[in-house]
Amino acid sequence: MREVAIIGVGMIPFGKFPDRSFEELGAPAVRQAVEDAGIGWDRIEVAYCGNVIRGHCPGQRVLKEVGLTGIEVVNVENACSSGSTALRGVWSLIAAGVYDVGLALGVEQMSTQITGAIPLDQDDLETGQGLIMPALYAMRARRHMEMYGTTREQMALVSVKNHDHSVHNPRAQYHKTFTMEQVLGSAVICDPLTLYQCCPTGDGAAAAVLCAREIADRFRDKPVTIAASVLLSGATNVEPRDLTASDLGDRAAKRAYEMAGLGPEDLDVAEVHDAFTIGEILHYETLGLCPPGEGGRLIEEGHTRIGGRIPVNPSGGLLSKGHPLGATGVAQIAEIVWQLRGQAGPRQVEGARVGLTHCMGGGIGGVDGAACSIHILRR
Amino acid sequence: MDTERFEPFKPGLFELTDGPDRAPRLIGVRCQSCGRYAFPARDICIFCHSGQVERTPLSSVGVLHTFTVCGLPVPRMLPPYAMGYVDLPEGVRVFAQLEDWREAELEVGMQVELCVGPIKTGEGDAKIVSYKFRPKR
Repeated sequence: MREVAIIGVGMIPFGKFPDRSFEELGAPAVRQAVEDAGIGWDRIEVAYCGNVIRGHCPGQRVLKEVGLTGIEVVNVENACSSGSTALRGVWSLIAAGVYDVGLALGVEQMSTQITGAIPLDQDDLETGQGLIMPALYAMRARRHMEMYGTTREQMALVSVKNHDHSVHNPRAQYHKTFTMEQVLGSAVICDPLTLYQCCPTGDGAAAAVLCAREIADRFRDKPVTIAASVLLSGATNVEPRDLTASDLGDRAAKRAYEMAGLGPEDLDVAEVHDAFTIGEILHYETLGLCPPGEGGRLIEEGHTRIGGRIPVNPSGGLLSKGHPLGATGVAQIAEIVWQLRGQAGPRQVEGARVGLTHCMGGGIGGVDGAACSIHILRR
Repeated sequence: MDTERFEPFKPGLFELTDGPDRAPRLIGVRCQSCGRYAFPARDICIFCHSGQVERTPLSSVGVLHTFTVCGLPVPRMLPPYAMGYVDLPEGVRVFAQLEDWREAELEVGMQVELCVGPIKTGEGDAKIVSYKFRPKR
């Protein structure tokens, strides 16, 4: 397995753009990434596209707009982890020596089709009977409050922090800050989750150019490398399991740290799946940033804010940067690359050398998550 | 139940017993190889992959492990609706909507019992019916 570098990244500002076509979202992100890499277009040998709701061949639809045609193109869907899955696909082919250079694209146009909760499969045993993602996380929140005394205020702080962070992110969907009272006072979605504790729907795209480490120096000084790439699915959870933990997340985190040869204490920055505020708290624990049950305290004591011990979601996270489903995984990668290169401007985490991205996707009955993908990047 | 049109959510998930009250019971499976119970019934044990499974009714009283109330409109659902995960004595956890609930009385750990009721709208004016749990009074 060869080492793989990320030599270029691009991302369009996320938002609601009902008048923009799917191709108009994806093409600029691809251009940015290729121009950032400073590599010839004809060097790209493979492209993976992560997308959830578009349908047939979303990758080819976008790539023909920039004249990137004729190469191997794979379209992947893994719910919220689609973009990370795309990145992993390109990583795996380069690591295995099949190709030297590839592009990962994540793109979603959803504002024209989805308002409110994302409709899930009507035949699935759980989602077909009314389980929606905010409800699942609300129920996990209730268990966390029951078992560990986590408070509504601690959960709201995740939203406050991530909205504060996004003020400095020109590509974020929102730039407004909220007080804790405003977060708690927003409309109840599924108790205890309120509106500002749930990520928005939106449109957007992000892209990354990867290449074999051994040729990366031609394009980038001190290139960012991928130290770990993990993608796993959830185990059937018919037997009672602890809803405050994630078997899937735990297994993915363990494998990622083993692959990278480091531990949570070595991370300088992380982008994690804060589709709901409680999610970020649960992921702190899954990723070993704090012991089980202490996630509420971790945020309350300010450790995960920019400037704290382990800044989480300096981009504003899904809550404020936005969550166009297929784009998110690649956008997380772009943020960590900018952080490791020292290009994050006012939201820069000082001295960041090691970063982690984490995505958890999928509402299917009987499993704690459909797909969890973790990447660890190093510079 | 005969003034509106009702349709079952999916076949094979529960049955009504013969007694005068026609009490419902969930149809689970017990694996004859490893002994574990599962719901819904499948032809293979999802734990040990043995094909030696037998269908068996599950207990109708359980513990409410967690719950939430959904207030926002969700296509085909009937808000506000409450839902939760119920732990049954056989070591099985079941997701279901709740019936006959009052938000102030819902509590983690409360005893709930199986019942049947509408969960969403179907074709035309039909209501889709499934198993639900209600507070055991």
